Amino acid sequence: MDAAAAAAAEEEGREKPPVIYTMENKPIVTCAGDQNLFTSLYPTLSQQLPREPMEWRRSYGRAPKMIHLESNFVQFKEELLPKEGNKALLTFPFLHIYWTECCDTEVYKTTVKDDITKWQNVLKAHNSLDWLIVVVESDAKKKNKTNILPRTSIVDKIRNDFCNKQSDRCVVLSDPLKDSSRSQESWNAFLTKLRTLLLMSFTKNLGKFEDDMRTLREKRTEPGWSFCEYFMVQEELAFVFEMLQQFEDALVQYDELDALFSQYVVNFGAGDGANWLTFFCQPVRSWNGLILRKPIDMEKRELIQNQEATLLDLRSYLFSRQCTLLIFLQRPWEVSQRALELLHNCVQELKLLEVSVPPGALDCWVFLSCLEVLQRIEGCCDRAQIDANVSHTVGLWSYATEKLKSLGYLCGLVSEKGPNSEDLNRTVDLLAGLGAERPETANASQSPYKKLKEALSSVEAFEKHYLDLSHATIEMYTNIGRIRSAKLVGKDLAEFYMRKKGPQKAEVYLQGALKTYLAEGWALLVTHTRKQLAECQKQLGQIENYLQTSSLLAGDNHLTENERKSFCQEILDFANQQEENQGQKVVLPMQCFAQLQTLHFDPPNAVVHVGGKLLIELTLLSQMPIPVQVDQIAIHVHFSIEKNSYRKTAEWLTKHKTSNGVISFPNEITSFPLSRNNLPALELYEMYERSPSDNSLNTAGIICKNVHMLLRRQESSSSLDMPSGVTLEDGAHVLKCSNLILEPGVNKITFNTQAKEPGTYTLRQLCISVGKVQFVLLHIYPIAQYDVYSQEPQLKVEPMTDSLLAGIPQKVKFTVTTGHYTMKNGDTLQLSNADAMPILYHPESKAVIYSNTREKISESSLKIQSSEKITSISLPVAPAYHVIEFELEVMYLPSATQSVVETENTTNKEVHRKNKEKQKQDNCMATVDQKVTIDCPWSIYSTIIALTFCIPFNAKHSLLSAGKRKYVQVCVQNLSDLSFQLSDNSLKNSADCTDFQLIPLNPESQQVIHSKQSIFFVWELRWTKELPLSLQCLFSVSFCPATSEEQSITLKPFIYEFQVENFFTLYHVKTEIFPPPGAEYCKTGSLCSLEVSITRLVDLSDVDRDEALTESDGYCTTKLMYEVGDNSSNWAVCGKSSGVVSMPVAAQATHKVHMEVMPLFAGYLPFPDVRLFKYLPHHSAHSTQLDADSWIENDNLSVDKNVDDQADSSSIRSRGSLHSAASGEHKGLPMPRLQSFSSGQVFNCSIGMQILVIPSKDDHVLEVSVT
Amino acid sequence: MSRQAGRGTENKKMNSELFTLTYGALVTQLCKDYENDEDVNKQLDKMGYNIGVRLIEDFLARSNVGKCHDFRETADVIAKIGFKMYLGITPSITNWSPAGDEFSLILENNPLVDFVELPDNHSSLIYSNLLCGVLRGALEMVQMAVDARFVQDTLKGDSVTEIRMKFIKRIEDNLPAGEE
Amino acid sequence: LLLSVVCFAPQNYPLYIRSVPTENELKFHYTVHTSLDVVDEKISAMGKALVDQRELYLGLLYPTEDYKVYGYVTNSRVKFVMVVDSSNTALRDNEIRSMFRKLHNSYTDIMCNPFYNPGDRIHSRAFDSMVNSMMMQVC
Repeated sequence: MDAAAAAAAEEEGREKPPVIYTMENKPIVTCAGDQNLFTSLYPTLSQQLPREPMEWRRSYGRAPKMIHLESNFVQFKEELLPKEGNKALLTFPFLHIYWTECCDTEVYKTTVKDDITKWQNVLKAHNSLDWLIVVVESDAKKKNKTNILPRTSIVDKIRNDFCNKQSDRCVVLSDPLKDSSRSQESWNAFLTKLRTLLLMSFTKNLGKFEDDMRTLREKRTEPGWSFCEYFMVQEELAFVFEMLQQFEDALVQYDELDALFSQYVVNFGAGDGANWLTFFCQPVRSWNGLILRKPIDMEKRELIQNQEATLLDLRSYLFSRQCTLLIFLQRPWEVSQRALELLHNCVQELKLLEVSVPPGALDCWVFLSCLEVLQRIEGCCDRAQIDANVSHTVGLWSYATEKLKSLGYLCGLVSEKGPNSEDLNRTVDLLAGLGAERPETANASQSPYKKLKEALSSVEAFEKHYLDLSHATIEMYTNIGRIRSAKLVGKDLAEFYMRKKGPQKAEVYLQGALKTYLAEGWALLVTHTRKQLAECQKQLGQIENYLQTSSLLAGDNHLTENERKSFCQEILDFANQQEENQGQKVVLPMQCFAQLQTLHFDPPNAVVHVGGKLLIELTLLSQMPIPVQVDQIAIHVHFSIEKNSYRKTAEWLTKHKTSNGVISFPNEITSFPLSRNNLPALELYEMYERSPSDNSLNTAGIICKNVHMLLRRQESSSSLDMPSGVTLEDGAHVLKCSNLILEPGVNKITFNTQAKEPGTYTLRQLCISVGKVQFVLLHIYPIAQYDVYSQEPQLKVEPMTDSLLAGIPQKVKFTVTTGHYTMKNGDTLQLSNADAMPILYHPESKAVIYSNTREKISESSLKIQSSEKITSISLPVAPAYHVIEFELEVMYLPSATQSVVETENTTNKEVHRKNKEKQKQDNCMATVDQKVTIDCPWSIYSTIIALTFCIPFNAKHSLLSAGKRKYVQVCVQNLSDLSFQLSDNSLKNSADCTDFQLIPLNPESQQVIHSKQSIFFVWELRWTKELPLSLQCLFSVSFCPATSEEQSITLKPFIYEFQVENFFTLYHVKTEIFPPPGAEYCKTGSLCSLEVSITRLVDLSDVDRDEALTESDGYCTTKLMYEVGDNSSNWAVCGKSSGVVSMPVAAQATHKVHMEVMPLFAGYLPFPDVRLFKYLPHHSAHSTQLDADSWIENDNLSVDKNVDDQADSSSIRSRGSLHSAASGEHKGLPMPRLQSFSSGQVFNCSIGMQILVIPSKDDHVLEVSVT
Repeated sequence: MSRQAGRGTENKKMNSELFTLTYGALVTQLCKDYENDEDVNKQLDKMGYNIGVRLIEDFLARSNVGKCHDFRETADVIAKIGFKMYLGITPSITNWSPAGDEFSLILENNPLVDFVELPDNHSSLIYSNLLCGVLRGALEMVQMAVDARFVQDTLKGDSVTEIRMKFIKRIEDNLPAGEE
Repeated sequence: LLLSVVCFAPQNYPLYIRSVPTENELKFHYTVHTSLDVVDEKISAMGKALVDQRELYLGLLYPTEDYKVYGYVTNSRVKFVMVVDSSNTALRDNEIRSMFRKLHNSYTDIMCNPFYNPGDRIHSRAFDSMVNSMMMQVC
């Protein structure tokens, strides 16, 4: 049977029902005319047609598409032509072709023409204008024809007979069956034509159809309008697009329908119901899920067509179509996603339309649908794809699980004792609603249908399926990291297990979920889950866990009062039950029972001495809804002895604890979502420990104050749930507080304790015991600790002012820190006093007693007995760890000479040290340390205390002479800061020789010497006879503070002892300068003569018996060295500026030296100064014991020797340079020495004399040096 | 989302959030450091005072306003120039006392309190008390002892914010009482 | 019908939960909490895909039978979630979007309140009233 016949047959079958919609749908093309001819060409045609794609331009500016045309060639019948109003677009023939191979005019005239005409008329009648006439030529035929017309003629005839002005409607196909280029061409031409015409026809027909459709849609507000009809129409369009493989467009049609329907439902909900909608509201009777296996679900389609479809039917059908198309479009994941929306949507719509649905029916429908969709997707994707896209499908899985669960509950399949009769009835009804399984899955091993039936068949089966689903879902969720969702499914599972009395299975899931909720601080969920957990733990008989959970719940204000009470009662009941097995206690974390809010120490600095009382007040916030009778509250204390003994001293502790004694604790519960998520920051602190004496650094370090928090965090989340972590340290030290009632809310509990061992006590744990139950706070943080110290008694003596001055009475403060010693009556301090420092006693002086914390306790007058050696101060009675303070006046008397001498050299020391340290003002006071030995009542050893006094004065002396007359000058400098009054000064010769007296040239009256001032005293020496070489002098002046008028106390005067030596004048030096002869005055630049005359005043005396003396034939001379220098370089000394002269040792022996000097400036010039030295020849003994001074002399000398050697070097050369030149070479060589005379031995009578120098005439510049 | 608000009398601009937040940080820190709100209020006033005694210089320099002849004039200068210059707002001057020595500055919107919500535990805090201090300090430098205090505050739920200014006396000696 | 508004800290604990009083508030919480999964998913996806263009609105997170859950994440990773009754199909996407913007704005104001320490639960009259008004407006 040939294709055409087949087509025909097919077409026969298509009468009713109209079309079998399969993917094989192709646009219909009718063939009229010579059937055999067509048949012969059909195969070529049908395979040639789709070969090349064709661009399809479309109306409404839709994007052009390239499509491959195929078509379904059927024999032409009039019935095929659509009647007016026929909407079955798919059945429309889009093109009509007339085939003929007639090449004989006669034949044409007689038959063909009429035939075509008839055909045309029929077409016209149905005004379908898409037709084509094909004239096939073959040479074969021509052969056996006699009267051959030119080939074209027939075609032409046809053309002008039928296709007026559209000649292209007639095409020639020449030798189609030959394989010749010519036939190829004609084929191509024909095919192109055919395609074009087809497309034109499509465009036209579709365009028209769409227009009709739109108009129909516009009518939708009219009463008679029916959605179903419209549905059918638009679906036709979809079909055509699908047929043309334009799935997108097809899908669009369905989506539009979908949207339209949804909109109606919404509006209906909003009140305006389209009446056509009402029959969608008919009660749901069948719920056999989606059917996605076949492209088109005919049954449902018919239901819609016949307007008998329920909402579910419509939705199912719509979705099945969308699904098919999406899968054509390779978008399975969109299917799954849309599926979920659809299911939710349907459920909603049914609610909205108030469709009556038997309980469970929807669950069945959803369940089946989910699985159907999933299977469909699995059907068209490979494993890998599916796994990669779990996130798209998992929603369906969990939805299915959910539904199955609710079905299970509904049908009483989730209980130990299976379903009861009514459950069974319900089950039966539900199954009935499923109807029979569909043929296409009927013989499949497993299908959603089978699954559901089986699941509902028995408790076991249900459990199996439910668990399978749940586990699958949980796994998928976890795989794609949707932990929370997984937990939620887990919780359902847990509920299930609980129902099935399988708590041990449930617990895992509950704990898991709880952990998550805790971690993310979801109070409500936590509460809810805990409730379930509590139940579970109760069933499991995990007493501790149960109690803990209930304690948490009891304190949970998300629960109702009664719930909380009941949970609280649970705990109390357990706690108070008379237990058979003794000693078995339950330890729970405290946070859930009560919170430690503040801790308050009294004394606030939390420092007590041994035996002292310490008071600790806790503020506990009880979480329980009812008052709880507590057996005892205990603080476990950790005790540690401090290595650093200093740390136990009062001052350290008081210094370091400046808190107000209140430690407040962060509120665990409220802060926990935070503390979970971000770690508390390290609280690091620097720690320095300085030594008490000089506060130099002993130790330094870093302390982490919240190490508890940080370390606790790891197990924190769990520690709330499993008290395994809770352990009690067994500290030896425990503070207890018994038998009290914790009211709900704030409670204050006070602990009293007496300090025992010195050391540091850290409050570590808090434990509340209620019957068998103990609530324990593992770590008390921030660290709360108190210190106990014991202290040795101490005595401190310190001046009130920053420095004590010698000689005047001053206050000294005594501080007795009793420490652990208690001052009894009659306890005294025994001061063994040096008479250099008497203690001045004022009867009104008082002793003040302070407590440890420096508040004044009492005051009592002070009794002092002084014997000559001992002053005993009787101390007031004072308890331990108190401070006694009192002040005494002392005065240091720098009386004993030896002490002064000592002072002197201490002075020097002082001076040196000071200067070394820092360049302070060089005059600092001499100090004397005065030691006092004190015997304290608390120890057998006597303490020695050194008080440092400063000598306010510093004295210097000097010898002045005028010719032979001698004067002694004493300079007294006041170094202290206060000013004094000096009176009755005196200078005495200690070695008293009669013929010798000191005549004071000072005012007798008192003198005030202010701070940092000096006063000079002068005496003239008078003598008659021979004088001693040296004389000891003792200067003394009495003083008293200028401010204080009261002279009551007689102050010892200030004493200064010194001696003056060989003060007698030996030589008399006189210098004279003469202008050059003839001149009246000296002129600058002109040489003048300088005469130095040295005169010995006395005969040889034992004053100058020394090695300078040379004895030659009974008449001695002594070598002197003179030196003319001029530092102010007014003069140029010409020639030798120095020299050695030997002086006869006899009175009035004079030696004159002449030299020339040149004034360098004009004006009154002071004389160059002349110095004399003893010139001692080298003596081996001395070369070794050269002292610093003589070295320098040496240099000077050597210089001069130099000068000697080089005959007369003009000494205008600066001496300085020579110095340095010389000083090098002579170091260390044995040299003659110079010895300077002691002051007063040489009297230079022309010191300070001046001479007028006038400028030289020819000077243009006049230099005047004013001196 | 920068909500830059063009403020200030001259082209100088400053982001108002930054300003507001800075002040907020200051106040909250004070709240942390002191136990009770009264102390915080005192501190704010003191700070304000110290700002005022300096700010007046700048103010007089920039806005060359002459000597005010009476308190009313002062009030105008404060409201129309001072507030405008430094806060970009112009409070209205209302309910003068008959004696003419007291008036109120009404601030419709107080830039200091944008976003601020007083927590319940700070009911007695006068959030913007700094302003009073500034006014007091500034006026003191021009020999006017005044008393400035908030009588209404939007933060306290009032419809507007009102600062009550009371003239106390002229200060004769030019040295302001030294504030530590 | 806007049923509930929730804000999450970047660490996913709730800063603010507000839902219309109802017997199954619990269910809200479960739903919202689970929807966080999707938020995280979307954020991580966003992190990969569009860094430069800042679309803070995450769209429909998690449709369930009775609720639609929408999400929004600020650049500081603070998340807002709104739960809408599924029956309410009237609510358009861009309305939701603008509601989220409102939330975001007033959240920024909260942050600017010197008395609010970031990370704490939000107790603010202003915020409450804003949320109220939104719930009113939508219902």
